[in-house]
Amino acid sequence: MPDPLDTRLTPPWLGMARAAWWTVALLAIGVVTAGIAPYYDLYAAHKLVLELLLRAGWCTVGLLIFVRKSDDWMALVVSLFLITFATITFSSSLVDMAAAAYPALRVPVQFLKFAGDVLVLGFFFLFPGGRLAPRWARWIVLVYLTLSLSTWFFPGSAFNLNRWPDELNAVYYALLFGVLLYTQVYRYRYVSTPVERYQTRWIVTALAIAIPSMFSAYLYLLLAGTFPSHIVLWAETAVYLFVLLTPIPLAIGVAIFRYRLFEIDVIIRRTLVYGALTGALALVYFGSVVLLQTLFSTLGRQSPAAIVISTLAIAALFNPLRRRVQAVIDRRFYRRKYDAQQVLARFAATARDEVDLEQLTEGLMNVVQETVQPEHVSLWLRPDAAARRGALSSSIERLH
Amino acid sequence: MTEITHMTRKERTAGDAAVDGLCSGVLAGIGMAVYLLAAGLLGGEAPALLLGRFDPGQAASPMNGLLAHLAVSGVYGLLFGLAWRLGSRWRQPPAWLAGLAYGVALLLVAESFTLRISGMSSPLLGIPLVHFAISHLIYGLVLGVLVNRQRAVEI
Repeated sequence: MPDPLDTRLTPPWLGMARAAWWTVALLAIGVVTAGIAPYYDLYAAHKLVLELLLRAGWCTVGLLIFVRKSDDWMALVVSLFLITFATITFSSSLVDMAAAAYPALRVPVQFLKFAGDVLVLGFFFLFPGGRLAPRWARWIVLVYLTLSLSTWFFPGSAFNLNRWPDELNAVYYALLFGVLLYTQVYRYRYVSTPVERYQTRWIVTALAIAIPSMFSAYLYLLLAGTFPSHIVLWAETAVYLFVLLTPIPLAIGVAIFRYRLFEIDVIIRRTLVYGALTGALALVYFGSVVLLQTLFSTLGRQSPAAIVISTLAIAALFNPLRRRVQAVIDRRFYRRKYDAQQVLARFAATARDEVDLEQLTEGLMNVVQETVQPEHVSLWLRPDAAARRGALSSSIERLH
Repeated sequence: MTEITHMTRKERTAGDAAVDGLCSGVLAGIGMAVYLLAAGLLGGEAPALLLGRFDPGQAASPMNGLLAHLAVSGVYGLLFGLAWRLGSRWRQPPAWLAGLAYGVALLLVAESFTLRISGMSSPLLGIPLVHFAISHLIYGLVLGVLVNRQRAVEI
């Protein structure tokens, strides 16, 4: 009886799965390549190069996973997800242009868009163990597949998402996102093995980097309306495409190949801190630029001082805000990290070398403050025996 | 018995005060937005339309508007946090009262100055003055209370 936890394929499924992988992957890359020429006329060359590099990065990780683990169906799903997401799902501009330039590609493009939708869902519902849990999630999958199928193959249908009002679409995607999040948490807590939990943590880390960074980039791009300059175009291309999304394929690759080699908890902690910090600083930057720009406009002139002052403000805020974010995250998520035994051992080592009572007291206070974070600390020291004896004999002498 | 007592009172820097003000400002901005949305709904204005008024660009996007509102609220809160710390050298009024006064000041500045840039009128001027004023009072009140509370927690 096959092990339900084993995702490895055996013939004849192995050959069929590999063939299907090659078909979809080559089709996706081929269609994107066909779309490059028409695309080139619209945007600057550097944006094209950066975008291609980004897509190539995702595809490379997908290809690596295929080369190393093509006998594992979950690895095939992940690698195809990476390829279709980079080529079609994230931005379909190239394939749309390919379809417009070569009408014969329209049907393959629609198929690829549908496959991209399915693989996104497949990745988030199945990764890392390949099991769909909780059981009711299958109904969500069914609804999602029906809607996706209608959208790409039956545009006249009432289930075509593109025909829905924006508000309804927003509700649908918010619900879907919520369900995906819930199922991930559910699987992590109740279904996943320790190894799978490590793999999930890598993806969480990447998302914790990508989401606040994209939020920051979104705020930055909002300023494009206020400051139409080439800097914004640069931000849109280099920052948005490169830095922000690259952690995702990298984390997926690490999660599949080398998840045991790094201290992931430390990385997650720092990612949480700096991710939240980035988002908060971006919010301050955006707010101060809008305010100052309004102020300078009131005075009747546009001034780069708004950007300079805002930049200085976020530079000044960096450390206090980082301390605050770190304190909040440590207090909420890493309280257990304060291992009392380790702290006591460190203090014991200090106490062996320290002879100054004042220093020792200070050290003890710091240890208690760092670990327990009390409102206040009081320390009572008994006077030593000799001093007590001295005080007693002098009292006796006075009595005599 | 010898007693050595150390109170673990942290040194509170201007940066800490600014961060307090920033967090309080964002929360107060949420309170202000909730009031405006509720008032808008009662007056028949859709939430998306109302939030779109805050968009600094021309698109009137609700998401942009919400982010811009929270960002500006945060920055105003940051300024209040710094001012409140600066004023701590002297005798201060209750924080909630100072917050209310700050809200009124922001309302006056907005109505007479920032929303009427060089003859152009901001979409925010379309919000009835009563609701705009009440929302600023809510902002100031919440800001004052939160900034004071944060400081109390720190000490």
